[in-house]
Amino acid sequence: MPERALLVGDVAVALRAVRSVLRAPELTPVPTAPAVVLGLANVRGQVVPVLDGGLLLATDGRAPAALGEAAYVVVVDTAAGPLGLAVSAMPVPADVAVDDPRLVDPDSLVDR
Amino acid sequence: MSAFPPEVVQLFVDEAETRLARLADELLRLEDAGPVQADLVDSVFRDAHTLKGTAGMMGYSGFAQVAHHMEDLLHQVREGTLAPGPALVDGLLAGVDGMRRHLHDMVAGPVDESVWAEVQARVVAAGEHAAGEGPIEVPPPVAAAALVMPAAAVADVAVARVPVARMDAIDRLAGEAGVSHTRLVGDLAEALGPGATLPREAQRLGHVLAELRARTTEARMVPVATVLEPVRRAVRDIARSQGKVVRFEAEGEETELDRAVLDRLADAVGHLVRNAVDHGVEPPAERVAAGKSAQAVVRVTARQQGREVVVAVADDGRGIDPALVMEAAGESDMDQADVMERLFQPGFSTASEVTELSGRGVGLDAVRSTLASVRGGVEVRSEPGYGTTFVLRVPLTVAAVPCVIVRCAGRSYALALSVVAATRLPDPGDVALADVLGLRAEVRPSAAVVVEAGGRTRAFAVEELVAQRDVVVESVGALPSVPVVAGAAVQGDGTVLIVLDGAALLDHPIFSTAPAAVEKMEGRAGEGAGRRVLVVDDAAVVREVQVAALRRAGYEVQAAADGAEALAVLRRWPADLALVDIEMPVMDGLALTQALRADPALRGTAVLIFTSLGSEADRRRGMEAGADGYMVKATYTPDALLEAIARLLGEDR
Repeated sequence: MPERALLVGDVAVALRAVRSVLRAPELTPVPTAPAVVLGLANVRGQVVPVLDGGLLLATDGRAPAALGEAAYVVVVDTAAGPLGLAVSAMPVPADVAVDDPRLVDPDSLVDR
Repeated sequence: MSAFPPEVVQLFVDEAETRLARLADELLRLEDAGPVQADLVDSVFRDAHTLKGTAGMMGYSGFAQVAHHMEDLLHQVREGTLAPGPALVDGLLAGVDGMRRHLHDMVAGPVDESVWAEVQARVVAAGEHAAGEGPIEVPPPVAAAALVMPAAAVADVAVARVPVARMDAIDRLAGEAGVSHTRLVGDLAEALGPGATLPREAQRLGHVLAELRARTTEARMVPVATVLEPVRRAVRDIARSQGKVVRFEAEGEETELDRAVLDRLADAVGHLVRNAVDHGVEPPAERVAAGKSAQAVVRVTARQQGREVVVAVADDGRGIDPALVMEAAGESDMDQADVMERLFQPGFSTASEVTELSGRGVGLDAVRSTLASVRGGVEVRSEPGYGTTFVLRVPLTVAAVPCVIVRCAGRSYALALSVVAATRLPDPGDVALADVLGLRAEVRPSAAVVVEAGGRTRAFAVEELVAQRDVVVESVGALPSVPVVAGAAVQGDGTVLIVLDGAALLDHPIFSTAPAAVEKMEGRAGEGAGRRVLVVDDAAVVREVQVAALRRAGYEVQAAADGAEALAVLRRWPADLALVDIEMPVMDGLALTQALRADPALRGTAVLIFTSLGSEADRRRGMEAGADGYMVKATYTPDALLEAIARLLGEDR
């Protein structure tokens, strides 16, 4: 059975894990955080950390999206709470196979 | 009127409130539980039994009678001769509500017997109904009557309507006045030189400002009734446009909430009520064909349960059909809980054809995230054919942490007041907060915050002290570990404010040249052996709680209700430490501390102040009076208290 997903570059996130897609929200930078953390956003009254989707999802050798290129933020639900992935290109919906290697588990993006 | 002293009556009221809150919660769980859970039934039974016993002892016979009838029904449930179905639970909840509603009137003076007779009648009727438990009866007939009272109670009080922006401005100014006072006291202390006492008027101003802050917070509490008016209207409009007949009922409208919470709650309730009329309620012909009354009922009930407010939005419409939900979800094997959970999934809400058929689901993910933003939650119960109930829980006030807001490298950051020992002018030796945060400071520092945590103290220079105000701190779960960030908060203007972790700032490598000693407490259970602690607080409940916690840790404990009593106790029972409240009748905590320091025999008693007064000025006054430690009640946890005590006694050794 196919899985409804959002394609973000060459990575796919299951649509049921996607809470919303935002256009370039205002970000508050987090001091001392690793470079992958772009900042904190206010998503419907809730504080959501936004990570660099390019850096986080990229396969080897791909250049990360620069901060200014974070045109869209895909908010996904993880076991630790909502998490934003900043990406430069608009995500597109698509059907992928459940065992498609491009599908990422949102929980795997959270560093515990 | 009770023959008991007011303190005992208050203790009874506090205890009864807690017990009634738990009882209501347990009853709802009992109804949910499916197969009857023996331990839950036992617990419910015990609560009713204890309420009957204490009320009887205090001479509140009407209250005790209601509890007696509830106990009687619960006994039958325990014996298995009565099922805890909705009708029975409704009746028992009516009993709980009645007891709660009249609790305060009852201790103030005799309550008309008919009041208790009415409550009792509802409980008894529910029992009779339950004995032959038929189909679920959705709206109990008492709802309409219950509505009249609270509405009248609300109308009795003269109310001034104040625009939100004006209220926020007052709030902000009160906070700024507090900061300004703190700085003034700092400047004064500096000008007067070490050892000088502050002018009385400066101290008085501190009290007044603290009181002002408390009152502005209180002014933010608004009754639920204020947001139900538009809902009532929407019900009528939607029903009329769709040719449905709907009666809207509200109960518990007088329940008060922090406006910040209520605003979010209003959105959620509005959404759910519109959904109920739009999708949940059937057209009259369909209802009649199903054997129901043509008129549907949508009911909103609000009640306080401990530190939470629980709001139920119920309708007697078609309910949620699990089969349709499963079909829409593309699954065939889901239990009831899975089905209900699925309704709140973001993806689910967009499937409009499903929601039309199942009667629910539109935008429920939005409802859940709206409530999550104030640390609330929502659950749903539904009976196909009989209706749906959404149960919303929100905290009474958002758990606000008093914070100092500072400016650093052009941005604002918050630090919990509990780790800020003082604010003062910057000193060349201070470390710049910007350096610790890895930021570039572009403006010369104008102030310094003295941060104290884990027994270490350091001053951080900042660009500016912005304000002192309460911040609703959220944890940011999915953020990769960043030690200096304790949490974050959405501010009034929609931007995000980062709350810094005081202890993590002190852990910065900049300070590693002079490692500060961190004491680690171990072996909690036996740490108090042989040590004596005197608990001094005018609130009986606080005394009870602390005495119990300290005894568990092995301390020998005595209690006193004010400073004078404490002195008398200490003269015949010298303690190692006194845990002292500030605001007390007869002799307050500051006077007691000064008296102890002046008494050659008692001078060695360690004093830990435990108070709800959390401002810097209060702390300074406490330390000036000679206290060894200062703890704010808002930060109380049994562990934190035991740790503070153990540390003071350890240093004392």
